[in-house]
Amino acid sequence: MRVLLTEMRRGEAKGAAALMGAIGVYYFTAESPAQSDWIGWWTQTSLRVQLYSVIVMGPVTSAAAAWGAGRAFRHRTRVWADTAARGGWAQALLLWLAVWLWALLAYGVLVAVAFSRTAEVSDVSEPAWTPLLLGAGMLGLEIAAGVAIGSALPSRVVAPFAGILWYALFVFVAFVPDTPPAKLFPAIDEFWSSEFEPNTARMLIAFAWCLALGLLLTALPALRRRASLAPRPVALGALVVAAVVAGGALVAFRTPTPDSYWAVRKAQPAQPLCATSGRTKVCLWPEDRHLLPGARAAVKTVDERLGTLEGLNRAFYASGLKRPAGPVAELSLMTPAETEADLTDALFAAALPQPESADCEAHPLKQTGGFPDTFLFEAVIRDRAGAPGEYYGEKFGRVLARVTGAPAAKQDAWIETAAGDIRACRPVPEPPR
Amino acid sequence: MTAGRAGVEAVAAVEAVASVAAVTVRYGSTIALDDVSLEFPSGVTGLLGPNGAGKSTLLSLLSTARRPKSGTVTLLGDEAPGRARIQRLRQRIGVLPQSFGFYPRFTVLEFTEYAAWLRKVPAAQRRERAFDALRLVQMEKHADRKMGALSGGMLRRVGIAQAMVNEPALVLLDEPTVGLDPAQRVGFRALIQELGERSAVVMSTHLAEDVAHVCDRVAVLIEGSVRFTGTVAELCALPDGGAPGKDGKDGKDGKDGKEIDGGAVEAGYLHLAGTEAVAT
Repeated sequence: MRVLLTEMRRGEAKGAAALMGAIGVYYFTAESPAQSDWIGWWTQTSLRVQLYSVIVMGPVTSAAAAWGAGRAFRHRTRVWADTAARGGWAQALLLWLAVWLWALLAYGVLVAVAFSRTAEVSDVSEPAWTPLLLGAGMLGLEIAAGVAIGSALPSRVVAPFAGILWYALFVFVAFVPDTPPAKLFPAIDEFWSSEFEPNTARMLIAFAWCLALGLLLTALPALRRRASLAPRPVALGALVVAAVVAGGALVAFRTPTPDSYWAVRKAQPAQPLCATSGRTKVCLWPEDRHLLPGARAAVKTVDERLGTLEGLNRAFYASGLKRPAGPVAELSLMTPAETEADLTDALFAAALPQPESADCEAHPLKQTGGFPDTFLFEAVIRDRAGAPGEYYGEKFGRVLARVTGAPAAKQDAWIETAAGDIRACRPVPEPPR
Repeated sequence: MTAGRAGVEAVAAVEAVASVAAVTVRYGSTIALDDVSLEFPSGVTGLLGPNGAGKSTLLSLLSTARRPKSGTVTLLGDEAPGRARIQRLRQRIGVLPQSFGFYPRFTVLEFTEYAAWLRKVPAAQRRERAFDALRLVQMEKHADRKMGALSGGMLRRVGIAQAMVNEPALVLLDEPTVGLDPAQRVGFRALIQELGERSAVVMSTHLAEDVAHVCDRVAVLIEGSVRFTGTVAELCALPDGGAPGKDGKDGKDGKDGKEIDGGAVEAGYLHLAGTEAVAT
């Protein structure tokens, strides 16, 4: 234990971990809850810490480990270390453990900071631990690769390349997702709505894979150092089996697209969180509890603006929640709607009727310059609701003004008929004059 | 100590702590050790020879860092041990390499404790053993100093301490006095003599003067072959002009193993190619 503490105290990793920790603390504290797509969501918070640690901190600590591993050559200690009773693997493991512990210390600080940000916003306390475990495992693997690289090529120039190698791998994976490297070297850069939760089994297997491969990598220097005591074949064999089984399982796993490889759909909540105003209702996942006050206000606004109009969706269920029969719309919160205005806009968009058939083709409206008739319908609804939408030009604007300038009864009749036509995949009727 | 190229002779009925028999080591086409047989009893044994004579290679065999292509190495009663036994053997061997590397950021105590960890000294005893070793080399007052801040002589002392931290039965010192000034060298010789009272010490050197002052026995290695084995007194008793043949039998004094092929004793000084002359 004291030797490990000495290694930690005297090694180069503490500087790298402190620097990465400081940058990470700045990154996680600088983000505004109003702009954030992770503050408030525990799973998302865990994913973000994991991502930062694997992509930013991992390569730097890997380079630090490579530098540390080259120390035996720079300081010419290899000769007497080769005659030690402690095998070469144990020597590499000591360095690996020292760097990993520093990285985990910084990781722990980042977890605390990021969780505290989410706890400020979220009423629910359900930290997702498995993504964090996976991040810790990947950190260990990256550091182990650094130890192996630094031992094999103990040059001052090579150490930074250990980090660059990892970064290049993550860039490759970003451009070519859903390939074995993406599964074997996970850096999860995704947003999961509340209908998803971490796939615990896969993440635990991935953690085991990272650990097994990492330990194997730390054994490589000892296998090359013939003068030092080589690792025991039984231990090596067990690790090889563990790595092959875990890695093979990860590669073999399939996920129905477009779901994330690392996520799984949650079970339905016993009681979704719902806010109702008049004829309008919105229901959210319990994990989105912090959005409820904004949702209540948004529902009230939408209900007031849509009034007694028929044909529009007036019940909204967050994605993944089981919806009752009838004109109930899915409310997508994939990009978090943090503010009341955002939620209101999302509800207006979700209120619009959708064709029941997936094969329905758009019906261009000549008067508007050939824009689909659904565009005019949406523009009319948004205009009445006081939530202006896109601008499609003067010709379109003139038709829109003609509809919204018509008597209310005529407008309502057109809207209600058009809503039915859109659902049935028919062209909307002639706009009122 | 034994002599002769093919056989092993016991000298003065001293039990050998380590021995090599008919050992040959090659580096590619270069023969580093050629059919070498030697025994190393307790006390200090000097390996004397010029650079490239095979001294470091012989020490690497004794430290188990290398295995011979042919011949046997017996260490602490163990011949050709397997992995587990090598591990146990290494716990009883201390090594100070010629090029003693160290971690400059470590303190003296931390470094010695690290060496104790490498030698598998039980965790509960490491600190105590480290202090004992530092006391032995009179470095305990510098325990908290960084290794990078030590002088050459102090570093050598810490090098000895790390070799002694596991209380070894066999200590291997490769050119331990190189780089020391004359005053430091004198102090160091006394230390090595003290080590010889605790453990069997094998010390390689190309400085004949070190051998003369420190060693109980000496083996002269030249070009991978043993050219002389015996006590220092026997070495010093060689007549002037001693210039024997390679087989060790056709020297001027006519005694097996008392001649130095490749060297000579002239006017009371031992001369070896690549070594300093030493007064006999």
